[in-house]
Amino acid sequence: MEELLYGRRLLRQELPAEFVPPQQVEEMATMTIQDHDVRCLRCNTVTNKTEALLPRGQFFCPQCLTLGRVSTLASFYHLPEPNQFPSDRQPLTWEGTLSPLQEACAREVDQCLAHHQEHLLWAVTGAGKTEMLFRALAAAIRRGERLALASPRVDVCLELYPRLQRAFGHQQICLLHGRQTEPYTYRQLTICTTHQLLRFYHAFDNLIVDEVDAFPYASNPQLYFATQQAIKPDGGCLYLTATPGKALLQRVRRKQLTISYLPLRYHGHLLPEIKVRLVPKWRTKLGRQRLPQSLIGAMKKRLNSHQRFLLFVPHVADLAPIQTVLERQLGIPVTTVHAADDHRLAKVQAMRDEQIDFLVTTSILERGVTFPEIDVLVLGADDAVFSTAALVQIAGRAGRSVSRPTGDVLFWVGSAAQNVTGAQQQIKFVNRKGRRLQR
Amino acid sequence: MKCLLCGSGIKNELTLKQLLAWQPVQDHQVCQVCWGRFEWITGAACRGCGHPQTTTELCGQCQEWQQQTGFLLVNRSLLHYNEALHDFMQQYKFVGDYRLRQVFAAPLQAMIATVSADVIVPIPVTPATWKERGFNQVTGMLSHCDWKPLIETRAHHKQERQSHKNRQERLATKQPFEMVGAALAQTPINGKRVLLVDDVYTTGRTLYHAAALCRSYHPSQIESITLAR
Repeated sequence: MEELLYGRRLLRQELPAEFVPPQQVEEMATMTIQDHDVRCLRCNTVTNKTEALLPRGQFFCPQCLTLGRVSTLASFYHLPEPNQFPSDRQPLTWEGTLSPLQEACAREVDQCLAHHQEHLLWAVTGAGKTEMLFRALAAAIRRGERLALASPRVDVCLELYPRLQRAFGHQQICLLHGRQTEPYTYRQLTICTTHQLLRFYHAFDNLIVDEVDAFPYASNPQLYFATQQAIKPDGGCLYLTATPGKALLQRVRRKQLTISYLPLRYHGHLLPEIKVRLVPKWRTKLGRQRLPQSLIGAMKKRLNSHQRFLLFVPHVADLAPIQTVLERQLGIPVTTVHAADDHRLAKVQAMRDEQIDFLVTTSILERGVTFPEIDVLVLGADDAVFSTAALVQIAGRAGRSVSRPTGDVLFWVGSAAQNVTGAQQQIKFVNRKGRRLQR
Repeated sequence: MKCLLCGSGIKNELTLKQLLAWQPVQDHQVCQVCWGRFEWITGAACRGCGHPQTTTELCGQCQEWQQQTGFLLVNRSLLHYNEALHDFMQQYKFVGDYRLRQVFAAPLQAMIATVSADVIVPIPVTPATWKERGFNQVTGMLSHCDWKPLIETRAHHKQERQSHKNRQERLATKQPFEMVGAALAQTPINGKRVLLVDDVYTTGRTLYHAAALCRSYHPSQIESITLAR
């Protein structure tokens, strides 16, 4: 049972009731108390003393309660990471091949992991990032390193897990996320959500963070702290993204972080560029049960030619009125899906299985999901809920397959907006880099 | 401000009434959506335990208590124990979010003020709970009340949580409390009106034990108030 604590930092309540802490266990303080506030040593949040105070002079952290309460009444249990793994000389069972461009990038990633660097890989959506990691991961497994692949999105983790399990056939991979029921197991390779990293302490020789720009990682200093804590002091960290945010690019400019680019998709084509249509006051018109004629026209055209597509809208509340209008105008049943939808997985699966020709959705399908040969339509792309990164990701849903490497990306906007122009510029920027490589 | 229960933002806007009243303003701790999920006990209820029902007649449970103990404890509760309140208690007691004490503190204390009582006695928690939870969920909600710690849990009492038991096991629980001699010497209760305060009235077992204990010190009247029923 000792291995439950290897490289982890847990409260008593997070361990099984029958667990007896071994002799050599390190008990660590949970909080530091300052003059006016207290700092949680798990999530690094600083809380005012009055808010965190318990009646008998103790303190608790109100921020990371969902993982089990951190308070000065308890202490953390920890055992240093011993890298106690069975040796595996041939961990990689994947037999696919990489394109020359991917090959070059894979070599670079391999070097990063070998030298425990902190590195940013900017690879466009649909570049085949996961496959490029395989070689580096295999080499690290042979070196006996403990590794983790973390993502802010649980959907991304769930998609990565079977792919990695197939690629590393003899390895048993540990999958961790908030909604699971299976218990934690000590494994050489872990796939987890970034929140789960809060439970690790100096565990990983190399940590890969996928989709660093995604919510909630990008805006959450807690999670950044968690990443730093989870890595060994001499460990490396690789960030993967298709849409790096300002903070990461600034660290690149300051030479605190090295960067490499993969501006072409695995099939060697450029990203489809965004076409914008201006439809002022579409929301007022929707209130009167009408949608822009150009949008209806674009949808009819695609339905007639059996061109499958996704229609993104800003809010969950927009789905119902849009569904009503579309059903009247198109005369066919319309399927909508959002994050809290009970049939979410079934509906997405129906789209995958080509049982339906299109889905109306909010930004939940912005990343991590691949439907081949689709077009992407966005109504109200100028809405503040769509960040530049989200729009680039949404645009990146189109043209992902070899059979149809291009696709249309159409945005309907109420007015010109910074997030839309930002997304257009980012796509143009990587396409410029890509064109240079194509020659 | 963020809602203490769901984390969504709350706007606390001053109303004209608040402005003119020139009184300290109570900020909302919980958003409208979460607040709306709680059911307040307003209509008719059992005149014994305060369980919401169509008439004020004694419910079956209370009749049994009366037969068994020879007295009737009059209890009043603020809220119905529905799913929202279950989630609330889960978060407050078992996750241990002590900030949630503020959510019902004001209405609970207002209710206590309507009952004329001389001594307010909260139900205690065990020393083990103090060590783990670090607070008593009842006294947490009584920040502006002058309560007296007259009863405490017996040292040898077998410690298993009421909330982990079924109805039969709960009813079979032995007297877990004893009087604190020193506190009783300071605040004698003979001839006084005693008010017991607890978080949830489920079977009544806990409160009847506490009331039976107090009765042996001859108070003139004994009643109870709980957050939920």
